[in-house]
Amino acid sequence: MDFSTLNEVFQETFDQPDLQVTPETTANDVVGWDSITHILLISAVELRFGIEFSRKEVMKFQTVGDLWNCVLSKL
Amino acid sequence: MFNPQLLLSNNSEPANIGWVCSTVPCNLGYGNRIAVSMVKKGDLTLETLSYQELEDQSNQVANLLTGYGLSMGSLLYIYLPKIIDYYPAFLGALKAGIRVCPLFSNFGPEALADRIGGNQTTAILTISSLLPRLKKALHDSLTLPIVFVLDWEADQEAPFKAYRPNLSQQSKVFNPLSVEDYTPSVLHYTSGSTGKPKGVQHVHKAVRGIQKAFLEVMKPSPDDIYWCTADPSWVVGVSYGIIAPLSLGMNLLQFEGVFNAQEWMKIIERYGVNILYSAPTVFRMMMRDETIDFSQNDFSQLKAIFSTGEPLNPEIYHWGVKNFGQKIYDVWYQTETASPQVANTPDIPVKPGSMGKAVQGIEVVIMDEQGKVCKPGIPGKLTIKAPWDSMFVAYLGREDLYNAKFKNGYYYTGDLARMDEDGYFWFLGRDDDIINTSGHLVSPIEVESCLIELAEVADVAVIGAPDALTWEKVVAFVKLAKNVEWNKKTELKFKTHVFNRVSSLAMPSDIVVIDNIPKTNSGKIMRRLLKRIYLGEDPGDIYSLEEA
Repeated sequence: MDFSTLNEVFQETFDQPDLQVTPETTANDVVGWDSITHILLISAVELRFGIEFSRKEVMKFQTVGDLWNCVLSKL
Repeated sequence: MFNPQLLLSNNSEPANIGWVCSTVPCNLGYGNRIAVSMVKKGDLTLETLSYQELEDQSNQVANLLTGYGLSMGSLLYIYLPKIIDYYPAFLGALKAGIRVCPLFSNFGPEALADRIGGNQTTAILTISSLLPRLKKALHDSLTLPIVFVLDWEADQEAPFKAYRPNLSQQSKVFNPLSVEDYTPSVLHYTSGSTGKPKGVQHVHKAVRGIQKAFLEVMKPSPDDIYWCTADPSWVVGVSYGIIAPLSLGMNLLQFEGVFNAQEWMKIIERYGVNILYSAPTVFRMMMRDETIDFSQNDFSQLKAIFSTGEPLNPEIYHWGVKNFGQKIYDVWYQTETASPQVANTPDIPVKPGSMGKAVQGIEVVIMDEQGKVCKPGIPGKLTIKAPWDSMFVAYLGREDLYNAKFKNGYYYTGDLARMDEDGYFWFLGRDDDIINTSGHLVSPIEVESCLIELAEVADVAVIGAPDALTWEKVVAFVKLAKNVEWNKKTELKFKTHVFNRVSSLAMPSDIVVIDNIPKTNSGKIMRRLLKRIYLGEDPGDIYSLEEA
């Protein structure tokens, strides 16, 4: 699994087949990514990668890169 | 002191909202003053519009729209995120007598389709990132409106037009249309307890009530930096995020981005926000954010904080005093009222947890089931003596529903409350099935209609349940279709479907799988029973529960 898998999760969660996220992407750059859908996104990432995040980890994600680094640390 | 000529109470002439909020300040010499300060995403720098720029650009919008055949009574939908172009578009349409219907940028195709329609002359202003959702919503439309795409550089196939290039060719001169007091202005949609969302129609006259209550409740000064965090797609974001401050020549501030506690703290400090107007859910999220150290911020410019949307619990009030050094004043209003009717204000003692007192000139009464006034302390229906200056004039196409909201000259808000001996009101709940989550009303029917589309769902019922963060949360009870396995993947699919088809606000926080949805003999979902089951309470006499 690589970064493109994470991108797929974003595309599916936000129903935007053309969406391309980068490590610098933040919630402000993605239509529909707000505090409510953040939880949905986190669940989708956990499911796809077979991992679990702690509440503290989730609170610290400011960019897609932060999220991806945390995913990598658990694989 | 505000210039007396800005105060609408000094003038009895009907006033076009677009004219009041841009032309009048310019005529009074405010042209060089900042009207709108938009904090950009990312680096949090400012993009501004002076009153003269607002006047010029809104005139161009009025010319653009009338040039495309829109006129008095036509409708412009604004389906945009928080962006500086919102303001001239909103005011320009109103100047031309065109009604404006703001649409939340997080709406999915189904929510959009429920709100866009009819055979009137319409146009939609949107942005390319929202276009795929809009196109899905318009898929079954018989008549396509003109669609202006904000960030396109050139027109494409009809009816899609590039907004900015067309706008730049327009004259900056436009004479605002004269309006009568009851000329329609803003159309908001609000969730109903049955069926599709209701179109709540407001009129230009509302600006008087909006401004008057703003002055009384918020006690602003002309030079205050004022930040109403509400999205302009909701009534608070329009009447108190646009109309009230601009009608007074103030500097309103808005942030393009989504909620991020650290960024919001920086904005308050960096731009010296004097009045902050937000929602309890936002304050609760700040409270829970362990990454913020409030002592590191300088909030000395902040002189008042207001909150609306759902009740403000005493815990937040005390937290606000401790961390911002300011009281948080709870303010109550509805889409139908367009301005606060009950409020805590800086000049009365606050009773933490209460809604406050009736705003001056507004008669608020608690009624019992028979329509008699309740004595202090007795719970009942929260009603308002009609009419008031910013009162809605119709539920679009639903005269029956509109008339049903009024009895013996009082508007029944749908909220339950009690008034104490000192005249303070205390919110108790809703008297219908509508769910108030994060300050937004969600219809259970809308969520059920969306979930039942899924092949995995055989039957569904949706309720609201108490939640520590969002006041209420959406909870779905689902009867699965045969051979469907319940697991995290299925749950995620259900939630994602609601988010993408309706909106993130309507997405269930919790989904409970159930063998059968309990219904009355007439087929009505027994929501109160489901709520008691969900909360682990004794269901009691289930039949009297649903007849109550």
